[in-house]
Amino acid sequence: MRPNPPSQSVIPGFRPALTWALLYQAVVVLLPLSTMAIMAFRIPLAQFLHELQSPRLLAACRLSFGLSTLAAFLCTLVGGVTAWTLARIPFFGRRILDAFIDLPFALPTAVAGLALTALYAPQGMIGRLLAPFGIRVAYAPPGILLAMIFVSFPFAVRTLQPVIEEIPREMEEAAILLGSPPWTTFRRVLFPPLRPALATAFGLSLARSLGEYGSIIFIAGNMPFKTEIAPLLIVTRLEQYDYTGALALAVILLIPSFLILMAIHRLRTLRSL
Amino acid sequence: MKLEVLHVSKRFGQHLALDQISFTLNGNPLVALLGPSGSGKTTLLRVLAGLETPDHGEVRFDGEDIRRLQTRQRGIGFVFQHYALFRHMTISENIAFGLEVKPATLRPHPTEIQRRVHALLRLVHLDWLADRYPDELSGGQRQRAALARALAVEPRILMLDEPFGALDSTVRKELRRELRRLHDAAGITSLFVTHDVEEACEIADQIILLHQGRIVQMGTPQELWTQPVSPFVFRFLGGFSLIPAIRRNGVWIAGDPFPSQRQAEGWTLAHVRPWDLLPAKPQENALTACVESLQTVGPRLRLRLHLPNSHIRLHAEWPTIPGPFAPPTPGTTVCVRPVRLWVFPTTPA
Repeated sequence: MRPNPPSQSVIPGFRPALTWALLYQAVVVLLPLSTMAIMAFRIPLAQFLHELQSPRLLAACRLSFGLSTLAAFLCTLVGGVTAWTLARIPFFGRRILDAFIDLPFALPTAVAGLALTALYAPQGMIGRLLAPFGIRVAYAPPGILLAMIFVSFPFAVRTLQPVIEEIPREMEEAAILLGSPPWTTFRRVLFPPLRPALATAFGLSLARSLGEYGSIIFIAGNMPFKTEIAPLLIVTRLEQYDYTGALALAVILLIPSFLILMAIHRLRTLRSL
Repeated sequence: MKLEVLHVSKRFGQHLALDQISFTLNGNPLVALLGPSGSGKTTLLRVLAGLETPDHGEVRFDGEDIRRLQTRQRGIGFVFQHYALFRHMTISENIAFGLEVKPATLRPHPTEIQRRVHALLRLVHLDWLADRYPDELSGGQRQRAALARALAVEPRILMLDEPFGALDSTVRKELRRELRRLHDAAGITSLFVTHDVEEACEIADQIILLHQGRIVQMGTPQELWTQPVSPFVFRFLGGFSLIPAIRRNGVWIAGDPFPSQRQAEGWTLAHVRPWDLLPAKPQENALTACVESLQTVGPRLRLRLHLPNSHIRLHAEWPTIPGPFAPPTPGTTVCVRPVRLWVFPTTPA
């Protein structure tokens, strides 16, 4: 056998691999984003300031960020419980449920939007039951929230599931035998190793919810100041051939998103909270 | 403390893991649950700890059914095979955990917790690693840390699942004696699971030998060696050979009859330990055997022999002290005399 130099890694071809990774990042991610950035620099600052003063945009941003945060929170919570169930509790039909989790990935989001609208519209199967109580889901913020959760839920489950599977059951048993009550066991033994994955699940769900367009526009009703999401405003500009305006809005949306994701990443890598 | 196990059975699907296990322990012995893999020893330990619920039977600590007691009141210190240390906590945080999660009325003052953690760290010789994380420790150090964590809650009974399984043989031997020392220092009942006969015999006061979910024999190491109740016990404890034997004038005599005589005249197969097959002068009761191969292992000479014109193979183990016999060479013949033969009523041929 040919002796390996000690520094050589198991995976061959460090250079080609790195080159490929950087190239991929450059072509697929950085190039479109930097084009956007360069084009954005051509927009006069005055236009940004003008756009930022638009009450309609501010209302849309509030709605988008507010509902996305709520959706991400709910996804992480419910997704965590789902992932726990799938990873730890054997029950009949687990594999089928497991396969169903990924389905929203495959479904064109417009179809999801239409299906949700059909269910939750005031005449729909579920909407009809809620209408007498004055609860509106479709054409109202809860509908938007529902669509956001629908598309981002798989991210939360699939991020958390492998991490939960990795935590040995003996950890729980050890804590219980040391006399730890259930809540303390969760808080002090199970939660800390899960925290980075929870942060990632939250971040991914948030990003997906912020960017989601296809399913939401069907269920939202898109009433300005009430149920109009920020990405819709961009599409509206595009339909009016106002490319500069669309770009300006995109930049306004992207900057806070990027900052939030950065913050979540920081949170993920900190050892103690 | 008094530990009573009454008719405990546990089934996993088709597999009967524990079959009517009953025994009682009094005083504070160090007990080995010994058996081949799949004999149910780990399941038994988990049932005793309350980690598995038995299908039938009950476990009593000092007369109380453990199902009636909360985990905390059971007073069990458990050391898992892979230690199950909390990876995000330092060693001292791991040891303090059991004290910190006590209800407020029973929880010691933080300075008292610190004092006890340090005392335990010193007891297991880990005080210099107090602020390290489990990932930064060697296997033996993790084992000691897990022991200290289990002892921190001052348990009535200490349970260890294959405590030395994942360690190399040097650390293993060292930690065995360490366990004996800690057991004596803590003055509590301890139970450990092992498949290693030497380990069990070296440190245990009592051995519970399990086979296919049943207790086949329970007793001191001495009793198991000198009064094995079945061929299984005899064979599990150590090396052996099978040799034809016949009873003459009340004494078992080994020999090699013609095949036609075996059934007719009451020949049976007796067990013989390698160290009971000693070199002898040609005389009555001595067997002539051909040397197939031999190895020197430390102070012992291990020989593989077979009886001439026969398929019967024998293992012998002689001390290598200088004696009247020159070490034989392969291909030559030697005379051996079985000094002790074990005949069980149901010995399979």
